[in-house]
Amino acid sequence: MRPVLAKSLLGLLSLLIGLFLILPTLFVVPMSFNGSSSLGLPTRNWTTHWYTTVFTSSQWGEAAWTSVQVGILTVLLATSLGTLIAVALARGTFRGRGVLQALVLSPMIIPVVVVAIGTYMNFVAWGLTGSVLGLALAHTVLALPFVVVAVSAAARQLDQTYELAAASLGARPRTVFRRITLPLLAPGVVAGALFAFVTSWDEVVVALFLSSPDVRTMPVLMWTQVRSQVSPELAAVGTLLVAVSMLSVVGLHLLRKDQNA
Amino acid sequence: MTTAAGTKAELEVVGLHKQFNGVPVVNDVSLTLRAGEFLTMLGPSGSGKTTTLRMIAGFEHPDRGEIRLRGQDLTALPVYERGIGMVFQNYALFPHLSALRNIAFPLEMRGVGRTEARRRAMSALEMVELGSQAKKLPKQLSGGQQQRVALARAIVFEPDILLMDEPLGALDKRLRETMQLEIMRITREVGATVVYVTHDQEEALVMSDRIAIYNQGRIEQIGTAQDLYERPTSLFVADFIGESNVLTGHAEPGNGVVRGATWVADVPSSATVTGSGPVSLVVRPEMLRIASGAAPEGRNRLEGRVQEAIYLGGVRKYTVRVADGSLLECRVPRTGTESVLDPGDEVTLSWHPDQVVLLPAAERAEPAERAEPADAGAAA
Amino acid sequence: MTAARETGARSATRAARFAARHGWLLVLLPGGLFLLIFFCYPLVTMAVRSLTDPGPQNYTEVATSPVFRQVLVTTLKTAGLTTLVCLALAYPYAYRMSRASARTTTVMMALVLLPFWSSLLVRTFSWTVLLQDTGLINKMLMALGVVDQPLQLIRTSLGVEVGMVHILLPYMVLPLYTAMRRIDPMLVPAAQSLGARPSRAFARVTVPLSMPGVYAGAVLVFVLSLGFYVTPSLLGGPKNTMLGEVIATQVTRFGFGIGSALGMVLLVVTLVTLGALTLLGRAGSLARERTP
Repeated sequence: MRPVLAKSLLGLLSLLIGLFLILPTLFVVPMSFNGSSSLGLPTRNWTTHWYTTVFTSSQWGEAAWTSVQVGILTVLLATSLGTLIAVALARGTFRGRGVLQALVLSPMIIPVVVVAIGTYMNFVAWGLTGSVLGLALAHTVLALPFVVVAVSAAARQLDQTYELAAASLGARPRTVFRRITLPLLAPGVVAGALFAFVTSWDEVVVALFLSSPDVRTMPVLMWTQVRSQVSPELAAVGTLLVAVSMLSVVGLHLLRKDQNA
Repeated sequence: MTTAAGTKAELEVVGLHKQFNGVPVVNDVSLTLRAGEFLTMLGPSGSGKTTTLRMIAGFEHPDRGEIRLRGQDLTALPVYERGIGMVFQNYALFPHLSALRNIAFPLEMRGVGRTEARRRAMSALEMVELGSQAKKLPKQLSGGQQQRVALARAIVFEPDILLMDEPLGALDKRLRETMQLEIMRITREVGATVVYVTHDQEEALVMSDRIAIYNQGRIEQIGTAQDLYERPTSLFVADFIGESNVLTGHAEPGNGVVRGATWVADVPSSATVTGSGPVSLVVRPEMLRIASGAAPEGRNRLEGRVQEAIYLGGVRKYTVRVADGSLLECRVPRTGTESVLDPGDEVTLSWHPDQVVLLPAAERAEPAERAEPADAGAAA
Repeated sequence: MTAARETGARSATRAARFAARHGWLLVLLPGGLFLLIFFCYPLVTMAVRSLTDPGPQNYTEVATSPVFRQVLVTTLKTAGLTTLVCLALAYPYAYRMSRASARTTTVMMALVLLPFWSSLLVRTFSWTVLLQDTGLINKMLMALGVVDQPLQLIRTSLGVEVGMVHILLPYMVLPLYTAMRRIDPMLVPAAQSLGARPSRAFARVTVPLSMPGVYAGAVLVFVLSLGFYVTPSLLGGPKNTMLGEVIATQVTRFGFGIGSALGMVLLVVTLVTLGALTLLGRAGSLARERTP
């Protein structure tokens, strides 16, 4: 009887922890459809009013456009640089490999505030603050480790014999890369690109320092408004932010599943 | 692919040397293949056979030596220009391409048009009896089917040479036997010249025209299965191919005999003994005659006591402890009239002098082995 | 075989050898340069600013100010507590997940990964609404009659702690789960067949074998906690300010010097913690290997 009791207690505890993880994350969704402006729950009158407010507001529109631009630019930069680094790390034998790996991964560990102020001071001097390019460059630093991890995993699984086999069948090095290596790396690269986008899309600390009133991302605008007044409009924005992230992650999951099928 | 079978050398490997981190892996390997020949490299793992194969394919660069295909030196030619077919140990089928597109790959690399490449790939697929599996991805095929696709891919572009690196290692025993015959059928059908690597001696005996026995980076002996079994030139080969009993004694050139502690043997007529010194006599278990009871004095016989008697169906295997304490093995085919012995029986073992092989005693090639790396190091 | 062909082959071989020796450096060049300019150089700039803007006295001020010392203590305490609470919650969760059916594992993994990849700002925002005086939690507590007056939850250390645990829990669950999945599922039955009761088998087999995961998760959560900025500044009050917030305030309001010096303090504390914990972890695994 006791093991059974222990087992159901563990199950109950796990359920509660799972709810603690997910409920606050999804809490913005019902909040954003709440009819009253006081942000209380539960409610009986649902409304899409707050979404209308957000979609018709020019400042949210501009911020969303900035976020998308920064996200796409970050994806392009981080994916191309990260793929090269990951392939070299997975395949290459050269001195300083360990140091390079630590360097590439360290933006995951070094406090973002520290990276943010250092970047801010440089970008003020270089005139890169308040620009989409500046934001994307800074976000690329933060996104790079995720791309490298995702592509490295794919590159490690890529057996080198495939490339030898292709060469023995008459493929020149460039053809081998295009026809064999790249297609086999593709799932890792796509995963890395999605991670890079989500990293940029949600990032707020670095963006706070580098944004200007004209060029600011959605999280930055949300941050300034959260500090002044909490409104259901922000819940609508939050829902949009979370929805895009979750779509990316679910897309990634489906991609993996497809790969394994 | 060549149809002009003949005596001309198709592939020549001359004085190949290769070291990894200062350790010699391939040490002065030379061999010559005739067109259409099936040569197997056999040896324990780490003896250099796969490295030799990888140098022929172009995956490794030899430190010294030459590889010539119909007289043309391949050593400086990159892998993709050698036109050598290779079947890999784990097949190396491209996981993102269907069976048919895997086979069409080498044709496309050679500029064959898409439809023509597909047509020829399809006929290769049919030759390995997988015509119905064309659209499947490698992971949807069984191990044996993947093996066939790999073989079809390696021969579809009609390479001069086909290299196979333990291609059956991943298959179970039964499938392996089927595939051995299948590979022989197909390679004969296309007339391919094959270099095959395995560590399975039975596989080598079944498939090969000639076998090269590798040991510690060198070829110990190269010859037909019969050569190697009946006329081994070293104890390593005698031991590696089949089972053998080794008797150690001293040659007495004046008398034409070899004298052991408790026996005297005639020198086989095929051998000549020049100096007196330690020698080994190799006797295959099936060449030993066994009879119960002690025998009168004489040459080419030994007395002993049966230690173990094992019934193996077609043969009975006896392990006999002889006077000097060593164990000899003896196999008696079941004829219905053979005498049956039990453990503890006193017996006499005898042999015909021409059915033993005389070899220099347990030569350990250490000094030569040591000299080589230093030599190679100086050259590098 | 023509001479031209041979020459071509030779030069191709030479090129291949060059690529083999130097090729990786060329491949690494763009990424390496990028990291040097946009990751390493900012850290250098910060270090230089901390010493020159206006001078090294920045550090004297940081060292002598009771406010900054208090902030550092709060930061370390919060990080430590967050790590412990995360471990306490993540361990049973990861254990259950490692022993669940494939379908349950997928669901439990989704419950970890969806928050993990969702905006930290949005999740913190949810907590500000949940924890405010008129928020859901206070309303429920009052409806249940547990309290008469709304509790002060937001702008307290409790609020910060709840938010940070929520944000960082996935970083603890994932390494723990990875470590527990590596444990051969037959080991616990084996221990039981040798006479260990289930609890003893758990304590003697599962727990020691999960230690690498505990270690990796704890290091990760602690180090990440040290630099937190968004969550403490939205959920905390003036009494529980953390280092990250002070740095941001300094740089945006009072100039780069002190902010950079504090940034250096945070960087050094992070790296030292990481280094010390890594050494400790190695010593721990060594000790485990040597104990019979």
